[in-house]
Amino acid sequence: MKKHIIKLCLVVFATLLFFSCNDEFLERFPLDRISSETFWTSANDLEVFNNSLYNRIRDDRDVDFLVAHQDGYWSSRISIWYLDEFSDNIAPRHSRTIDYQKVRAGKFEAQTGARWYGWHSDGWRLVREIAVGMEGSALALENGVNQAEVNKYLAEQRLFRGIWYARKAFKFGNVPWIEAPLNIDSEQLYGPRTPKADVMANVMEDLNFACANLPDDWGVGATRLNRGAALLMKSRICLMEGTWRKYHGTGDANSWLQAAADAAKELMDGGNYSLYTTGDTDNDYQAMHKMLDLSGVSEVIHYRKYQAGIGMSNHVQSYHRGYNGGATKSIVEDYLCTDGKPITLSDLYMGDEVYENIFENRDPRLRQTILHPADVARWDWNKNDERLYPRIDGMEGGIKSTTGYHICKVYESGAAHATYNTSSTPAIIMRYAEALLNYAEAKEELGQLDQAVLDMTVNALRDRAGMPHLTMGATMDPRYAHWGVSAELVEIRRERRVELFMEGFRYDDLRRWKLGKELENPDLGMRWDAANSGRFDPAGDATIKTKTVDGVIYLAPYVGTDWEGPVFDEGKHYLWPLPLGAIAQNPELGQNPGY
Amino acid sequence: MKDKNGIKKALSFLMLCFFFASVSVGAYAQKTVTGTVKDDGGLPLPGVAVIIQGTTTGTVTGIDGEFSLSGVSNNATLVFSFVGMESQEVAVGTQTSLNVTMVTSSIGLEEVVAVGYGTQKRANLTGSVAMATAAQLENRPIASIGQGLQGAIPNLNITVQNNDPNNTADFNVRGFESINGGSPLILIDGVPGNMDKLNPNDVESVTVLKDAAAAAVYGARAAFGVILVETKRGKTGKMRVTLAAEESLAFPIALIDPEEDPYKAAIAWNTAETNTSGGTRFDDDYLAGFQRWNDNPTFENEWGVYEGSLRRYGFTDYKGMTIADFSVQQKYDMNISGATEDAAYYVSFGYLDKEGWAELPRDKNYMYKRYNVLMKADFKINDWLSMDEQISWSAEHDDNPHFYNWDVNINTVARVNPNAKVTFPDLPYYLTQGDRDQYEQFIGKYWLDDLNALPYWHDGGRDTETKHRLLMKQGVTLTPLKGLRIRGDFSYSTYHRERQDVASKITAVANTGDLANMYFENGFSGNDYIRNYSNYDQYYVANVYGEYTLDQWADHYIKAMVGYNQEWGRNTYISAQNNVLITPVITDLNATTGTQQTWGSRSHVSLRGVFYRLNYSYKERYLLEANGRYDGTSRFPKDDRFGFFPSVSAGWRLSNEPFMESTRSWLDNLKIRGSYGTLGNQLLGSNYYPYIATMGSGQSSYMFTGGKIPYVSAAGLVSPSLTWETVETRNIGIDLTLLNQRLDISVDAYTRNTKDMLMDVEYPDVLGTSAPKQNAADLQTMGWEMAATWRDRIGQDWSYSVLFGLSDNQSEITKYDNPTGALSEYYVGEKIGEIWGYETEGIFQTDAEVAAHADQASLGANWKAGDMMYKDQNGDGVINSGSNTLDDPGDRIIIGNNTARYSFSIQPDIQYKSWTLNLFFQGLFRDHLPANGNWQAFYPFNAGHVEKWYIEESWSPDNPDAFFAKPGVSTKDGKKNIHPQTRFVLDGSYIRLRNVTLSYEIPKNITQKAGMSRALLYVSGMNLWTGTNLHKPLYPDRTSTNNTQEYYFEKLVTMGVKLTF
Repeated sequence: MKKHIIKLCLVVFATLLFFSCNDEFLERFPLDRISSETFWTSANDLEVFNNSLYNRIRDDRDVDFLVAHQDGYWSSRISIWYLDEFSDNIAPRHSRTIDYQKVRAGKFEAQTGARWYGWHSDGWRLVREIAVGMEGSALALENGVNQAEVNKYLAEQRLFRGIWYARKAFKFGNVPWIEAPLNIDSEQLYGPRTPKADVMANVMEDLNFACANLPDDWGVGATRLNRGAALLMKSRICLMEGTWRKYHGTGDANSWLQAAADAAKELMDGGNYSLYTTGDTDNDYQAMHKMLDLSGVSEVIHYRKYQAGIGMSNHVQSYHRGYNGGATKSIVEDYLCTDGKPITLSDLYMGDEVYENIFENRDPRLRQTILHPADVARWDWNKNDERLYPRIDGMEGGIKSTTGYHICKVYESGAAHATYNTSSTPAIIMRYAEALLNYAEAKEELGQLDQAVLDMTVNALRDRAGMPHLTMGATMDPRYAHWGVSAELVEIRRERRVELFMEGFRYDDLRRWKLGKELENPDLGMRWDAANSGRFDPAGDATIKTKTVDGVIYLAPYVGTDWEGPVFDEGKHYLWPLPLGAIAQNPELGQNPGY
Repeated sequence: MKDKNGIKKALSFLMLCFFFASVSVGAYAQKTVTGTVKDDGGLPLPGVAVIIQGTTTGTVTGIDGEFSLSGVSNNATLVFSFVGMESQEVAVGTQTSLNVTMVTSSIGLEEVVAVGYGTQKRANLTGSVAMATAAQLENRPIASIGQGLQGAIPNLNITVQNNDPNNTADFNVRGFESINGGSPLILIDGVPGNMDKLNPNDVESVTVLKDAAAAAVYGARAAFGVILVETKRGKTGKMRVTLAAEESLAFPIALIDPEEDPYKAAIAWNTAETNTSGGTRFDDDYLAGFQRWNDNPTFENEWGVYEGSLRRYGFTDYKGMTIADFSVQQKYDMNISGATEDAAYYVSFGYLDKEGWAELPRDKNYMYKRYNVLMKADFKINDWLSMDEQISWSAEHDDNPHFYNWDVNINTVARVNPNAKVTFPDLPYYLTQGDRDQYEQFIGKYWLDDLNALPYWHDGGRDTETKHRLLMKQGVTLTPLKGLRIRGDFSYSTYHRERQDVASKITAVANTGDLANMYFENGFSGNDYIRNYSNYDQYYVANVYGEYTLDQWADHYIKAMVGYNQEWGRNTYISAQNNVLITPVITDLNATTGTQQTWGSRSHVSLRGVFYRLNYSYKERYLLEANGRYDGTSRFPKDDRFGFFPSVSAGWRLSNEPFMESTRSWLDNLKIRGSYGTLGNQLLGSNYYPYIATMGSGQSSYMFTGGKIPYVSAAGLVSPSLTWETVETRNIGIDLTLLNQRLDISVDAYTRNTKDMLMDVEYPDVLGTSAPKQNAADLQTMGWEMAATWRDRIGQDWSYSVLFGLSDNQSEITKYDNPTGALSEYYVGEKIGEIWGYETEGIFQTDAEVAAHADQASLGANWKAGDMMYKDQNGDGVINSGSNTLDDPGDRIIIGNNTARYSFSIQPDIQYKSWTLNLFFQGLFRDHLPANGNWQAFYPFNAGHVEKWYIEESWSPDNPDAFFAKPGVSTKDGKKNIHPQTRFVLDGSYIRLRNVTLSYEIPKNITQKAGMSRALLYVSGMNLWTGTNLHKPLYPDRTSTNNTQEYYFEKLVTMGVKLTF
């Protein structure tokens, strides 16, 4: 018996020993993750890290710059094509565009969380990640990576930061400037906002660094931000800041305007980009916007690529077809007549009594933007619908609009009727035409405009569209005389609105020109007198209400809705409110005036 | 419609088993024994079973309590058993006449209860321990143990998401655990596991260790209680074979009640649309068409063509087309058990087959099958060595339609229009006479209008999954000295999941009514693919512990236990997806032509600890126990890795005191208990390395040229000094047994302080990443629970018992770092479950009232008569949420609390002769605020269909006192009237007849002839009745996802048979 017990004790002892002698048993390190200590040793490391920044900006809800199209369901709500819904260009009614409608109507208040395109925590993640990347770039340099290589990636990081901060400054005014990755004990977490002027000075440095160090091409074309993109962004941001300063009276404007002009000019002189043209004035303006493959298109400076079935696909064509509402009377009437004069001055304008007459003797871009009833087959509209267009909400069948002005600028029949989320519609985020418009506007604001400038900019665009040239000494369009600017500037601004319609500029432009009050003009649609309603809607199904202007009845998409009677409070609406949650966490941020 | 094969299969299976079992029956005879059986009051007891031990031979006492049994040998033992009475075994010897007195069975003082690493007599417990036994889980149509235990143990709170057998119930002990989550430690035969996947019939007992004193030997994982599940093992006696078969019909509890008159529904929608956007949803032609069909519901009136578009004017009973009236659930069990002197064995096989709720043929439906095998053996090698082995294996197989998205798979019924087009109609002609040929290809094909789920369910691919769980365990028990017991065991378990998800292209009629422009499309299924998933997890547990019992002195009893535990786990995951199937028939990664993608991950974790328990009792009056554990985990940094968690408890059995002598006649037991202890919580879910900063990596869908781009992203922040949450519990309790053990009461009260809770501290957004978890907050939970049992007999034939359980708990945040008092976070003083909202003052009756009232602009625009009037709490003339902080909540107040209070259960059992009726009522009290997201069917016009009661209960000038505001389309910014508010805080309390079972035991004299020792037939019903004040269509349990079309709760009606040979 005793023998057994000894045996047993030995067994027990051995067992205990076996389980306890390995000290490392409780040391468990991650098996599938990379540690930051061993990273940052090669240019490739920097490249894949910068790829993560692109991955971060993929979600345009959170990171509201370089907006492209969201994928899947969210492409019904977030896309560069929808940004004009903040303005008087497009009048949607669909519930999924409700945030645009609220802003457009001036009926938005501070809310707890972040609004789309607003103060979103994932945007601040990008700021932190850029800062981590910039520290990593410094480490890579220490680790022996070639200075020029490092600068390329550093430039890309700083361009991201510059653009992001510029967007935030234009939306919120002062914003906290963060340079290094914060930790939970960083004072900056609870600090006040950095004055906009300081933020913009930093932005300028970032942009300058990017313009100096980015390559002209990464070898992948216009999908990765390169020097051309940096220059165009610089001209866009500097023009925004310069005109904002000028019209809002917040300080020296000219250095910014000059920088805007210089950056645009540098891009123009660089020769890497040119307007897309084949000499076909009836199609060239529009063609690019329907292309599925934008590689090699000389006008495109930056775009986002999609590929169904792999991950990034979208449904934006289909949603846009159903939800965009329609263009407004205001934009339609801004297109010039073929004599180069506005409809208020031209003898060629045939009025809006007969729908088709709107297109007669007008800038050919109008017919490439708004559906002409005779163009149904041309665009394969609604799969070559046999119905009479335009069609209005409430009518049966076909594509409906709220205004009677169907937008065909981007309509591509295949994708517009494709199965849910299987389309690869690309998003053009920056194109060369903008550089020309930026240059012309900056030059005029600087008082340096001359015919030569007009010819290389506005008139280049007009040549492509088959429109007569703008010349110095233009006549003032009486509709815009109250702006108090030169007739040339009015025309440059008109050119910008027309050329860049639906590309996300209008709302920002009105704000920087301090023309927010323009948004108090209610949106209208087509003439809806008895003749037109009888012709297009004999059954009287249309559910859009109307408004009588100077004795003529027009469709008025927002009459009878919550968005009737838009307001623009100049003391308030030029900036957006900060989310209440952010202020609750850090009262030092303070709210913008009026909210 | 329903498949009958299952029933046939079951019958043939049973027949086979009968044959198998009858081989084992046999008997031999020697002499006849007679006698009388009486109860402890001296009255004769009829109906007592008298069986020769180890055989199936026996008889039943007659009306005068007399019996006569032939064929009894001298060395036989007779077993006398009667329900509610203690079984008696009498050795026959040379006697031929026996008089036996049966005593009422004790309800547990002598009962042995499983505690951590050992057992304890219930009378000697000093911690808070509760137990449920096999009887509460058997003979009920439950698919999982979670369903069976709901309400069975006070303060064991079980939330069952729905009746989806794939889901696992959520278990909670004694209320809100930690803001960081947490759950009880569930051990099945000592190994962490998923108890919901066991075969309920294999479970011997479920023990809940509620307080620190009971759970301390489990240290860092026991903070929120421990649930010990013990499976059955072989019992002394001859081989026993049990066969059980159960057939249930499950009726989905889908409370949506759509308006079936499309005209009424259309008018209601139009009113809502007009109120919201000024438009309408259905034009005059539709209204006329609906009217026409209403008057005369013929096929001709069902369809029409208007302006070239096909229109449906008839009502579409989409609910009826998608939700089956009932489905079939089958359960079969077989087990064989027995023991010899040196070996005991228990082998069981269980099978569950549950058909889904959808109105689909069996091969298209949601299908679930589970197989359970349990094999256990105990060997006594010699005096001092015994060994035990266990293998448990289970396989779950589910086979469901591919999940496309919510629109298709979940919320369709709530979203469809009352006149939804489901299939393309067969009309004599469409646009012009004679054009039928042109449309023939579409006839009878599914339509994609109104998010029609049916084409996807039928042809959209299948998502199949098999999950295997395997546990192998070897134990050794040594008893080298009297009083010393040493046990070691090692178990190894694996979890292996293979899933294949196939999305295959469907072809259906495009969502356009436009007859000039009809075509087929793929809907959501355009991008077809196959994705395979594989998980392989391994886990081992090793335990060694020794226990020494010293009870050689009459007055002193000492027991000491010390042990060591070590656990290790490793998880791997691989997934691969290939796009574009060559043919939907061949579903393999190789049979694809599209882009390929892969994913993977690995992790590992380990734990070790030493633990002890000391028991001392003096004269069985004074009980003392100390427990503790020194525990280490790989989840924390080296210096913070170990923690010590001690507890003490004491009990005083007053009833055993000499001065209580006079009460003995009616007081069987009175014990007062108290305990104090601390435990740790290391449960961080799957965050195995919370203190190590690592960079993310993967493939981004962002594209530069073609295909994804690889990326490595910035590391987040981690805290270098993370450590345990500490949970401190105090418990006092009284156990009382009265009136000759008829009444048994146990009451406990406790506080549980969860300290240094690991939590995500929120920082301003500009931090730019998630803040690391910190030990930063405290929480206190207070509660109590009681369990009472009454058992008695009335006369000869009747016996009955009632179990009553009642419990309550409430939790409050006692420390939290929230300097601004933001309501989006926890704050000190917050009662868990608080509902914030506005106070409803009423409904504006006139526009003038709107003008006179405080400005509600920040809650929505365009306020008019018929809209909700919210109370201006702070009197500032504006209704808003202020700065959303505690100091400035605007006009919001606490309007309710959704924590379950006063959970109760009542379980009356009545027996009359061979008949038994078990009832099980369960319920609780709480407030409920229905969610106001899209497609939640509770609020008017938040979804697609129209509920009958919306129409009646929405405001109109004729109905000024309505419950709801005037109709408005919520999805079009009409949510202004359904902000969280007092009006919609509903009384969510309920009482439910969770189970009712009526069983009949076939008399022994019949069953014996058939070679059986017992035959039980029963009918049972689950969830047959619920009493609640909740407004339609809410169901008390379905609080998170109201009325989306996921797996429903069900009523089950069951017939079962259970035979023992």
